[in-house]
Amino acid sequence: MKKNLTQIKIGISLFVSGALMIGFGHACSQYTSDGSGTLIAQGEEDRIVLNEKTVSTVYANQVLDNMVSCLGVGQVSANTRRLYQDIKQSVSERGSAKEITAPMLMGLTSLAGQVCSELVAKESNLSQKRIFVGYDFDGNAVSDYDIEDSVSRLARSCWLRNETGEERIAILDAINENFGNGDSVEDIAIFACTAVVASFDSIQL
Amino acid sequence: MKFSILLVTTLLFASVNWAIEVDDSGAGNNVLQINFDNSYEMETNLGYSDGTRASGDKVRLEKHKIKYLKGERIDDKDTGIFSSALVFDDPNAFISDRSIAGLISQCSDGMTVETWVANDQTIDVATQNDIIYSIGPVNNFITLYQHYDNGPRYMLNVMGTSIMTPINSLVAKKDGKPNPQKVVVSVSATGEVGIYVSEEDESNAKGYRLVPRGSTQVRVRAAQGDNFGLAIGNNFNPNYSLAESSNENNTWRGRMYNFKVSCGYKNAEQVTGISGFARKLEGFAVSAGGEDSPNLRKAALMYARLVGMKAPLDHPVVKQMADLLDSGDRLGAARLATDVDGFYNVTVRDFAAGMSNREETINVPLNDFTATVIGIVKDDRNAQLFLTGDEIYYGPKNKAPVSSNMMSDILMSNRHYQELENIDANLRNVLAPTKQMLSNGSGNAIINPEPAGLLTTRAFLSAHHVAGTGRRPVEFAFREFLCLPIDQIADTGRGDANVMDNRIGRDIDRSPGGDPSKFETNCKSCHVPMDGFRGAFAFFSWKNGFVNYGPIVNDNDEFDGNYVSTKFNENASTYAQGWRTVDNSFKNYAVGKKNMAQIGWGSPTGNRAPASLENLVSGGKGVSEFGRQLASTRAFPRCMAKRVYKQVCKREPVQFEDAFIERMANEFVNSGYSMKSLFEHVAVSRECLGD
Repeated sequence: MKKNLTQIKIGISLFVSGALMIGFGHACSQYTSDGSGTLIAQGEEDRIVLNEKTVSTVYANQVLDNMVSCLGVGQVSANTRRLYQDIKQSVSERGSAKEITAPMLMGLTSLAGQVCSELVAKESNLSQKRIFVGYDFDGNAVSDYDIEDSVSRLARSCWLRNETGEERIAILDAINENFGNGDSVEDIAIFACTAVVASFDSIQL
Repeated sequence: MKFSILLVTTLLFASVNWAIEVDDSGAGNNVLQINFDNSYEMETNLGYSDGTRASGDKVRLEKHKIKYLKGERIDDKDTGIFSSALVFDDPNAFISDRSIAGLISQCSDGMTVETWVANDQTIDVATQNDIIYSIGPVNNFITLYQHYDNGPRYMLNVMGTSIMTPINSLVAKKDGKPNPQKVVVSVSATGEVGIYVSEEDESNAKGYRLVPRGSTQVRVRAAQGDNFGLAIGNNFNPNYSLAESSNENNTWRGRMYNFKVSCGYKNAEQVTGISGFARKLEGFAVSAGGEDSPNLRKAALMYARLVGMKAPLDHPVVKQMADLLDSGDRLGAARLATDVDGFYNVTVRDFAAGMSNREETINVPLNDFTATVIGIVKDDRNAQLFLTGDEIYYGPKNKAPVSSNMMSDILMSNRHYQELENIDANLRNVLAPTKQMLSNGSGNAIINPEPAGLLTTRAFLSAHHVAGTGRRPVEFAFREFLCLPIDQIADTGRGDANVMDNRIGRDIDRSPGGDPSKFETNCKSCHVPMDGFRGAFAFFSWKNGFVNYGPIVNDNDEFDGNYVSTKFNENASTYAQGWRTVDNSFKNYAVGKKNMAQIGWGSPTGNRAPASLENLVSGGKGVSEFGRQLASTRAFPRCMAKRVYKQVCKREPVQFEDAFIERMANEFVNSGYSMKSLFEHVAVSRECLGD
């Protein structure tokens, strides 16, 4: 029952991630422009702007390494590898931004949840935590301050930038809406981590 | 301290009469060792679930004298482990003891469990979830199962998390005899878990090697509780009692030679005794709301594009790269990224993987083609070796704990490379060159007398020289290494005396559908260059899962008296006047005006005078010479520049970037064909990552 609840909540995080992606538009706006570059006119969405970075996503072979690397999980577990193999087919082979699909996002969310679980398991054994610094995994609550702090660290790890205030609040609100008394600190940590790692900014390269 | 524990432990185990050695004098020493080599009657220590003693007729655990099952294992003979075993051959048979919690509570820095077992049977449901041993309640602390799921394997549950070893990693019997396997489980205080299973290795003095077969991360629990004990062969049951029927589903049948618990976690390199093979993606301290400058972001992006995965803004390498970008040293920043293992393990691997198969997908297992590209790049060797080398790269025994028999694991199968992938090997550290070999079809490997770099790898020939008519290796050589699909080098030769159709094979209909003009307009243009070159591959073929080479393989079905693969001359009646391949000579008919310009034979920089037409058309003999000619073209460095651009910049270069590609190709040639340098130059360009 608890596992189902966690899965439902992770599912909700997908929508949070989607909202972050749509709401803040990191996929497109900062990478394309109608500047002075010569265009290859094949329709609006196929324009290539010279001397501009092409936006792409991590491709199937990179997905797991990317999550493990940005989160610093260390050794990849066999369970995570198995899940990765299961979802790999749904992920773009070459990382084309035009090949993002709903099954791909669902698969990435599922994998992100698994990798985040490993991160949380690892951090819960550490006296000096890297991401969930203020979390007491043996306790029964975590403060908003500590959640915001972990979101900041996760953003610098996997978004390669500092998070905005809106992003921080969006994740915090989602946690406060979905978790209450009786929910474990571990689940809150996994939720916060998954919300960041499954978002577009984490998979865009 | 040592004495008191020894005394307590001796008292604890006095009743079960095991051979026990306890020593807590330092981390890594044994806290429990059972060799099963003493004389004792186990029946007297076991009983029914009602607590009464066993009569012996239901429980039959007996010391089993074993000379040797499959040759001597020298290291274990030294310790006497294989002088005897305990046989579990009766439903519900097990031994148990609850004192182990106290013993392993000494292990503050993790623990390692080692055992030698021979499983009796591997039939489907009968061997599902059979408990070999369990420390603590089942699935609560450490439980090792014999398991069956699409094949025999081990299953390990550590503190609620399960790992299954690969199918067939459990080998119960060899030649009808029990096959002892060593199974090592190590758990760290911070929850890292690894399981390792031995494989036979006759070239090793120990007779076996330990192979990593799974890992996971768990949240660590304390070894405590009323029902915490050690059980072998079934569920733990306090007071040595048996549940007569309820446990039968978990009854394990086999032989156990020893059981040992020691304090201290051992990582994969420590367990296998091989250092440097494991990939490491360690975490670094991350700040909240720290520095976030444009050059730091750019460094992080460049890192991600070259290394194939992201690293936090606070990663030390990213910070160093940002510092170099601040000082204007963009190439220096790129060099830091290409010095990261991931550049080879991810980016170069995928760069190569897509060229290694017919579908041009990167979702293929590691193979000799991909490994050789990684090796040449990591050793920063001349990339012309892609087409001219006489070596492949592999993981030698002293560098990687995988199967590495040249015949069975490299020439006859892809197992060696698949296992390197399975253990997540750090390919940069592991790969080393060795001479290209071929199977002679009689169980021996000999040096390939006609090597041509990647063109004569198992992966390339299995993809392109299987069945067919010997033309596909030529087509894909041009496609993969010169970036010229066959339709782009098509040339009818009309009006050019140097471009002739006399080499087109007898299997090509000169009047398809009764219309000779169809041949002239649709068929000839591709067959002129392709059939001219295809003789280069005439002595090679792909059959029975390995590369066949006519002069050394005695196979009259596959090769004719001239050592030419018979598929080169099949369907001879289609056009009997066509070319008959009698040796491995080839002609270069891709010398028309268009091809001279786009291929640039013998002029890698485009500035040198091309090779003379006469020399070009004369062609050569064998795939080695064919590879050398391709490697000295202008198209080769241009193609590598395009491929690197696509890998790092995430799209194909467009027409307006031709000048950039030409510049990169020149850099490549001038650097001595250094792929590493090419990646660096492309990655720092404004064409790739923007201004």
